[in-house]
Amino acid sequence: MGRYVARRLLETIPLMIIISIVVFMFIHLIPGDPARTLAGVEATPEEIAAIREELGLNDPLIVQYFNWVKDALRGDLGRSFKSNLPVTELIWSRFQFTIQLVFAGLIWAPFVGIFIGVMCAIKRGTWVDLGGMLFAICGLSAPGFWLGLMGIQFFSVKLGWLPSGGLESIKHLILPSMVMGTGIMATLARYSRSSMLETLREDYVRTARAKGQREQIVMFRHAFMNSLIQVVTILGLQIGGLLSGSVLTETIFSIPGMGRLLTDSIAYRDYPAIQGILLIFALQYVLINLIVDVLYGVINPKIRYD
Amino acid sequence: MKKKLVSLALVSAMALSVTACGGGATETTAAATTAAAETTTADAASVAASKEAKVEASTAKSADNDIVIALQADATHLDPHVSSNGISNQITNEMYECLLAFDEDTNVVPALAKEWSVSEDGKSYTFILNEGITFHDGEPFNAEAVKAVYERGLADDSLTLKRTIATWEGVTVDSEYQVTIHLTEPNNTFINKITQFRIVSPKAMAMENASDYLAKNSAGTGPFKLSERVDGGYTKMVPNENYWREGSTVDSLTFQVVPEDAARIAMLQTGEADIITPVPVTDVSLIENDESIIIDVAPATTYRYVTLNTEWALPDGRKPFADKRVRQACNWAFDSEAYAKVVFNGYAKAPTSIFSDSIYYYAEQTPYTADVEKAKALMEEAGFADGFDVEIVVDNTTIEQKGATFVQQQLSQIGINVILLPNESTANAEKTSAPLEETTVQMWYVNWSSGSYEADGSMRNILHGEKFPPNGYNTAFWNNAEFNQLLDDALKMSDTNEIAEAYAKAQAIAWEECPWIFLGNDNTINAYKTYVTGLQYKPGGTMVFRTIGLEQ
Repeated sequence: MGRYVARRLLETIPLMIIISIVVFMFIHLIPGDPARTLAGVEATPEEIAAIREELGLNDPLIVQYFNWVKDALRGDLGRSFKSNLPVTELIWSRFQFTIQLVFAGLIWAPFVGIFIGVMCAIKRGTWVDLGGMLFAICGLSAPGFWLGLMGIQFFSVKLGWLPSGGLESIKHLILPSMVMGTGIMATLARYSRSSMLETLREDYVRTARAKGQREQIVMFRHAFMNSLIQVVTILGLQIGGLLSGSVLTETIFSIPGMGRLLTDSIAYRDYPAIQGILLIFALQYVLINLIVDVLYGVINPKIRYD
Repeated sequence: MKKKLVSLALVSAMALSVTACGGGATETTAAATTAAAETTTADAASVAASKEAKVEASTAKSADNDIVIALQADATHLDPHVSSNGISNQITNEMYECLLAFDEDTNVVPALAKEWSVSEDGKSYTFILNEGITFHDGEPFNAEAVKAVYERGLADDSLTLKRTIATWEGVTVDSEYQVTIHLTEPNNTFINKITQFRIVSPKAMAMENASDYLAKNSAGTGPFKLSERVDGGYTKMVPNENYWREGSTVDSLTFQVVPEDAARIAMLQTGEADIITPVPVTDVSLIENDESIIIDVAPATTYRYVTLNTEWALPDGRKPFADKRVRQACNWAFDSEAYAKVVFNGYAKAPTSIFSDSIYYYAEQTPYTADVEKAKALMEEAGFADGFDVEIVVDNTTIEQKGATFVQQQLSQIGINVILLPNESTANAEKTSAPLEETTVQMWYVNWSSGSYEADGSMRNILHGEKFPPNGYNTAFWNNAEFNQLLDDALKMSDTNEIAEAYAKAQAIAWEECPWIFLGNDNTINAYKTYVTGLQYKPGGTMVFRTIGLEQ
């Protein structure tokens, strides 16, 4: 197991190099001049030139790339053009908010989602199944943006129970948690239902029943545990999506997280910040996938990585 | 029977979901109807009238003594010599002061300097400074400090401070509290510019990484000191206990970044924010009737226009906008009153000159009142009776695109087929800064405002013949020798009557020549709780929080 994890981690190195090159090239390809944006509309061409020089934008692209890599290897992702803060510091301060949001979503959504899905599968064709799936479809089709604004209108403005923005206390997390989690809950409900139905048709489930195993044990140990493999895969992908895709939640609830940092950085053509953030996002995906693969082995001991 | 039950459940579930959706839909429609109804009645006057009544009637108290101001975006940087945009200035202005300042009526009033005088030749300005003022870091404020700011600007080309001191020859310290600034030649905008010359403690500026220090610490003389900041989140300040004049009574002042319009409104409604700016024009109706909220509408300095590239040629080689009659026809075809109503829900003003009336030396012109027949006649006279296709560059935000669509609709009346090219503003900035030989800009839907309320700053960069991109944003590529000369001459004049005359002439020329379609001025709309006291304004609806307080 340890060797497997080590190998997987080593494999991420070439991946990260490729990602960094692609990211670097792409952001320099989008039209827009960071120096001009920073200098403001009243700037003279001389001022813009001075800023370009200071930001090192006059060097050939390849030189800029290697300068960046050289620093990145030492853990220095450069300084943000916009705020002039070190990118690592910037990302860290923003990451804390995003990670809180992600946890807030994950604390309930997978459990509720899987519970609904499994119940629907067990009670297939009954009103429980119908109601559960209807609920899931509503959750999938309600745009997070709409859900967030409605939540603010209802719980903050009308009832005055919850704050409408910021992240100062647990209370502030409740509405964002609802927005972050709803999609995952709904997706997992759908997936775990079909996954559960599939496993329920497996031979080993029939065998377990035939040998007189109690129904609860059949359902839990034989069917449910085996159906989890698919669900965990989906969950992993969803978490990756949450980490990098929280921009809407962050915007509605005025939370300075990674998503907003990325969109703001793109608007400013803040190259060092964009590179740093995308690199972190890529790393997150790689790590989450690794965790998912390791989890397979935990859920199903037959899966071994040696 | 079982089947029947299932279908019953299905039907009732569907009915439930329909009701749920229906509830939302009804609410939205109701809101939309109210908004539409209010568009016809709501205007700046009615909002202002209700303000007094609300203040009278209010007995509301603030739950705490911490004031929160929700802004749309964050400052780019807290070093006042680095940042360049309006929001950065709004935040840094509470920590840093200038020698002089503007009051609400665009009068220059004393600030760190108590008196000032100008030499006979208009090239030297002498300031007598207030005594006994200290910076947040304990350093004394004096003439040397003023000089140090100038020297910082000289030493670093990348600072926006450079712009302010570009026309200065030098600074001399006459005594501890008297300083003289010498200009290379007389410049009538100097006094306006000095209101942007922010004084920072010499000790802080002398640090090796002064900008880094100033990003996290304040070192001004202002009423508030920086307490903590989360980039993109909020900037919190506390009152400066050693402030040299009447200051604020609050415990803290926080600028919170709330990018989403609806969330800003909600925060004001719930009292999480005490002040919000800006209130989007489409959302005024949501809070207008709230007894605990006051709405202030002020004419903004922002002036909106569409540049007409006078050098742009059709595929057949003809240059439509080179002909003054075509440019005038565009203005006669454009109904600016309707533009203010449709695009800004009435919170805008039809143009009466080439810049806002809150700018120095504004001179009123005869409006181009919508007259499509006249416009058509001019088009025919110019040989463009059949019209032509033209592209318009516009930012891709909702309000900008709505405005450009309105232009498109108006010009279609005289056969001009406008094609929208919406794009993100940073990409547009690159496109519109291309020089004449390379430019692809045919029309540009844009706006301009002069942060120091000066006539020169409201015209030169966007209309002077020397300001073709990339030197400026004259994307009309309009080059009128008389206009250029008037601007250049006026800049060096010191007699205000002569300056006024020159600028009036310049405005009349541009108004008659129509390098742009003149669209109008929008309003700045701010809203706050009735328990907020001591709010002050600068021209253009910019808030000043120096004496802000909360009724407890």
